[in-house]
Amino acid sequence: MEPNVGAAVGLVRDALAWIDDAGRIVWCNPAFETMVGADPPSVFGAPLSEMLHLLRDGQPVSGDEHPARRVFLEADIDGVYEAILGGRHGVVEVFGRRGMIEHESAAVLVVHDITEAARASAELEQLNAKLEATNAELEAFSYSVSHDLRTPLRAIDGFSQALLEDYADVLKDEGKNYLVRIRAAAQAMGRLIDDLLRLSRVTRTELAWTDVDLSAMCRSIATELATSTPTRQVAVVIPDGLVVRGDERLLRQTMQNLLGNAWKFTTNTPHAQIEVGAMPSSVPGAPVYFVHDNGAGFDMARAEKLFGAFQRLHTSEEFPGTGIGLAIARRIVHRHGGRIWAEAERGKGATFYFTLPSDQGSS
Amino acid sequence: MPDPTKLILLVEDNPDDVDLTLRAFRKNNILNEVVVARDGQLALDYLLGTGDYATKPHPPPVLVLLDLKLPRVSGLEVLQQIRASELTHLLPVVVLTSSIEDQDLVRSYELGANSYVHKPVDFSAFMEATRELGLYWLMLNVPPKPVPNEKGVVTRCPTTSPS
Repeated sequence: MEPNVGAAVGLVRDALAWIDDAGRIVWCNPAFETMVGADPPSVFGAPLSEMLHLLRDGQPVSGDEHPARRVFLEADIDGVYEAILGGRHGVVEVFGRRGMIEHESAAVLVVHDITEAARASAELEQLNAKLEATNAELEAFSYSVSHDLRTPLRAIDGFSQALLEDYADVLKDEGKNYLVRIRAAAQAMGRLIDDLLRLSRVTRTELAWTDVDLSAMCRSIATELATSTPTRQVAVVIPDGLVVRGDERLLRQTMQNLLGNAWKFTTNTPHAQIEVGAMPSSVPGAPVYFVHDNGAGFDMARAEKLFGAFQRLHTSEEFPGTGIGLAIARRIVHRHGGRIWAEAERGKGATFYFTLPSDQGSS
Repeated sequence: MPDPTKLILLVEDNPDDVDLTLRAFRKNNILNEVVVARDGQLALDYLLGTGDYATKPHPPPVLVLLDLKLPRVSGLEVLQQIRASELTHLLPVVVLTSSIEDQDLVRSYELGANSYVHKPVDFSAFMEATRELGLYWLMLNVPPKPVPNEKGVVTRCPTTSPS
């Protein structure tokens, strides 16, 4: 007893149509009838091209261009078309093969509705285009900021200095002090601009993934710090063999920030100590790295402000800084697919932890 | 003491920066005459003897201080044309700019700038930069000397290679 192929094909979700070499429907499955919105009696014997309305660039597809003809000309076809399916607009992929069925030239076509996928793809393309446009705008903005904002600041600083130098004899001490403060404010704004630019640059830069010797990098940074403040005695412990995968330049910025902070916040600590290391985590091969210092620490209750741009937990009299460093460090760690967090106690010290996934995460 | 016959061409459109630069020169005892060109086109006209300067005198400078952000013709284009013309292609050009963008730095050197100096916001740093510029380019550096070729046309040829 032959299996009931017809019944089986009737269960197929894709639309199927068997056509003769004149392009007329010999048989089709219920899915096909539903797709083209046809009544069963009118379908059999009707030309496929009149049942399946296809468009290319808004123009109706007909004659030799229609799959019903193409399949006989090319034997094996695959094409994507816009379609009118039961009154609504959609996108379909049409497969077809020609052959002999019961000694007659025939073809079977499969019509696959890809409307949803096509829409999602178009949306993705649009979002990408928008993202590229935004990045280009950001690029142009940062470029003009780096030039245009500094120029008036330079004038403010420069002419204040000119007043201080050239009109010192007619200015009282208080007047001179005002000018000193104007200069300080202009220079502070200059540093803020530089910091914002650095932050935006981290987002714009393409990551160049390599293996990075974190031990060597930290040692070189520690040497730089020691050279810049030769009077300070700080015990720095950095183990060998810390190797991570990431962008060398950005990771360097991160370690410069974390080590620089540890250095800065141990300024008033006798027997200052900084330790860099790695601890195993729940993910094998991806340890948690840390930078620990025994310096001023901070109040854990305020910790959520720590990584915000320009948020500080100390006054500038206590310790200098604009508060952008950790925001930049966080953005860099996030771009590597990692996390960064901190623990501390006021007066006892602080530890900054971060992870860097060992595979090339998303940027 | 810098030679006052050595002329400096300052290409700068911002009047505040012009005044601050001139003041910095004075404060640092740089008494050379400074010609100021307020946009890129005027700078090129001065250097190449075109436009307004086709009929006006335009004694050649020994040093060009070039800002990058200029109206009409940009600083980079001015640099390109300076290097492209036989009259000026060996002229020392120091790019003096606010921009800290890498692309400007790289492009300036690619186009043949001799030096790239940032204009800092802090005026004392600016004074220091100006003083060092003056000291190096006007006193220490040996500029290319004009030499006539076989047709008697004066072009610039190096007599010694500057460091």
